[in-house]
Amino acid sequence: MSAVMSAPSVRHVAIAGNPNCGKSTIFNALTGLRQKVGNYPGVTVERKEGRFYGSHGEPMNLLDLPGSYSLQVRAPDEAVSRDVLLGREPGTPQPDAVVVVVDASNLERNLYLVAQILDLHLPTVVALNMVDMAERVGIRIDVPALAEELGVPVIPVVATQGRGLVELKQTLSRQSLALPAKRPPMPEAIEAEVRALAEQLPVDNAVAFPEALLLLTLHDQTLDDLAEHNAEIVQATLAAQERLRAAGLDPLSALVEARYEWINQVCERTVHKPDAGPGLSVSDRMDHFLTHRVWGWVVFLGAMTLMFLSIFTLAQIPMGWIDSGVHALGGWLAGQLPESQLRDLIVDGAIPGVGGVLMFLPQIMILYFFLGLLEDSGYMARAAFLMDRVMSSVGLHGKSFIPLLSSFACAIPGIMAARTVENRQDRIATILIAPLMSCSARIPVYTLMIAVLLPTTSALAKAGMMLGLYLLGIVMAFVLAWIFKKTLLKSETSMLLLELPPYRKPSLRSVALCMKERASLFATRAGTVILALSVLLWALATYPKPANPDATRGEAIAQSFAGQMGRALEPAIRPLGYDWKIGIGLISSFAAREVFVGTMAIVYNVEGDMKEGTTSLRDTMRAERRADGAPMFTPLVCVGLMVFYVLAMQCISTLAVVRRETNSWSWPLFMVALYTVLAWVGSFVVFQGGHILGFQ
Amino acid sequence: MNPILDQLLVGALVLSALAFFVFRKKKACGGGCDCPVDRRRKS
Repeated sequence: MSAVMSAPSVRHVAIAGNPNCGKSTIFNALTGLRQKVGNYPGVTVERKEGRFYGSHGEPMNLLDLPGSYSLQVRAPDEAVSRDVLLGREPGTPQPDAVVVVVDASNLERNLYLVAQILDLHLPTVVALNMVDMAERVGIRIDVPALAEELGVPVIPVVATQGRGLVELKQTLSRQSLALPAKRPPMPEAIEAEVRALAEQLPVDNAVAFPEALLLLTLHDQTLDDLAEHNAEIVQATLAAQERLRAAGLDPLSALVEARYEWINQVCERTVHKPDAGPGLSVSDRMDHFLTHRVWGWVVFLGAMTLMFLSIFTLAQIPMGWIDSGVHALGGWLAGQLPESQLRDLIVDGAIPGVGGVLMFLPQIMILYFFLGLLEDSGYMARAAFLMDRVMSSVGLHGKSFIPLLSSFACAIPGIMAARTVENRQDRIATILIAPLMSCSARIPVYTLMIAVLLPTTSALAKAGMMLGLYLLGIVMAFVLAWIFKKTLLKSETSMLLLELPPYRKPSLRSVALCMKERASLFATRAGTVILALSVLLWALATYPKPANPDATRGEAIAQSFAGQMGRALEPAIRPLGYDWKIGIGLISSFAAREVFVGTMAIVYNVEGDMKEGTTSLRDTMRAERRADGAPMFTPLVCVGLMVFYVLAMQCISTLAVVRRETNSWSWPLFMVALYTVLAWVGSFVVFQGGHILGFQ
Repeated sequence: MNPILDQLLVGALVLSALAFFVFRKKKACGGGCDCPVDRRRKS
């Protein structure tokens, strides 16, 4: 075939492929960007755009699309891929070329999407990724023969090592990229109906055929897609489907059958597989162990305990350094600056506010180190499998695990990752419970309160307490999911089909990169948002100044704006054992949860005269007394406060994302109301219930 | 320190902190290597 496409000024290239086949790794390698990659399906849920330069320095736009097994979509993230490839996505031109990434160790399954993309009749290049892993298990692929069968260039690639990327770039840089020389076969009757339907579609000629094919193969669950077409098209589609059925052909199953027949032929001619030996492979045996109903849980809980134990032991030394550094800086500045309000702002506001939060940097890095190792090794997908048993018992889909897992870092990517969940009811249920997964912003609050509660106990007890808080969030999430699925969000739970990725030695480089990014983000946040909030909180806690110049600091803060706000909230939180100072912390947490720590530092620093003594915040809080001389932070108050932070919905950004993802204000408002009540009740039960049982 | 200069400097810092929130670029979250919102911004 001589049909070619000339190069436009900036070529738009889309990367498509099955989930977990390495699309984002190729995207990162070509663009130099750092999209999140992970050894499990469903990491990318939105299209991502980046710029890269071809072999001759010509700029190209690269689009990384969410993974998809087929263009017949089932979940919203798959719809993104289909819409971009068909040029339906507003503001995104149809790609000038497509790179289909296929997993060399699983060619049969990957070729189904390739067949559909060849139908699009766009210049296409197949990137045969992970050829090293395929070779390791004895799979050999005749690349020139595969290129001949598919009618498009095929480039063997090992994206993680950068192998084959130069060739891929060279292919994409060709002045003219050839259109596919072949189109995968389909039953003649179907092809005739598709051509007839294509002529009636009010779309560009280039996409009429694939659009018509998608229409004709809509099945019962996806017939809603027809709603976006006019009555004539709907009529024509249904009539064509009816004619085919009358001729004994179900459009979808006949097409799928024909495609797999073609795929089998292609694989027979191009793939050499070793004979399967007797017994189970090492990977299968590991899967049996890690997903075992007893041993699987032992490993999972063991890994989690080790992670939290490390957070409390390994992080202590660098945390001590940061703490001493912050105190030394505060003390030094207090000695250098003349007595003034500016000095108070810096020494009592900015430094304790930012330093109080920055101290938790080592813990955040250790958390990401462990999460990175678990993700990269392929363990997380096994954990998802393990969790599916629990999740299905509360009516949740196993696919909800990955969004919930992402929520341990931050609920926002978690809520967005819920797009991979096909059923709308399941998706909303996942979004609703995602904020109950303890995000990294809660770590400073948990750590501070655990330190106040258990100042001298072993790291193991502290780790156990932290694990308990995480588990409380998870258990509450499951209980709520069960209630939601029985009431507001009734639906059948479908079976989990999850591809278990291969085990891999974790790449320390990518784990280190993720840790570095998280650390720099946390530090940047401390230096910007937290700093600005600390300055504002100091001002709110300092002004208006008391009329009596001899007023104590306690009296001064009590009549400040912050004190007034805390006092206004006090009646509502008094039954929980909190006073107005904790009230200030709760209010400020709505800006960012970790600000609670900074707020406590500012509120107690203002009283505690940190310029003269270097009492740690923990000791200052432990020494705090109520008006009657009783300790403020009793065990019940500490536990109640931690329970409050596990359950409360204190994140404006999360609410904004829920609004966007559900396209409604009702769900975010429902969440605020529900979680505020839940947090209050949880804390109330701990404090008042504890008192009744005789605890302090 | 001159009390007027002191007041002016403190006022400027507090106003800058306020301005930071009013004028900063709208971003859904803190972002990071696994935050899709942040990734879109970088690209």
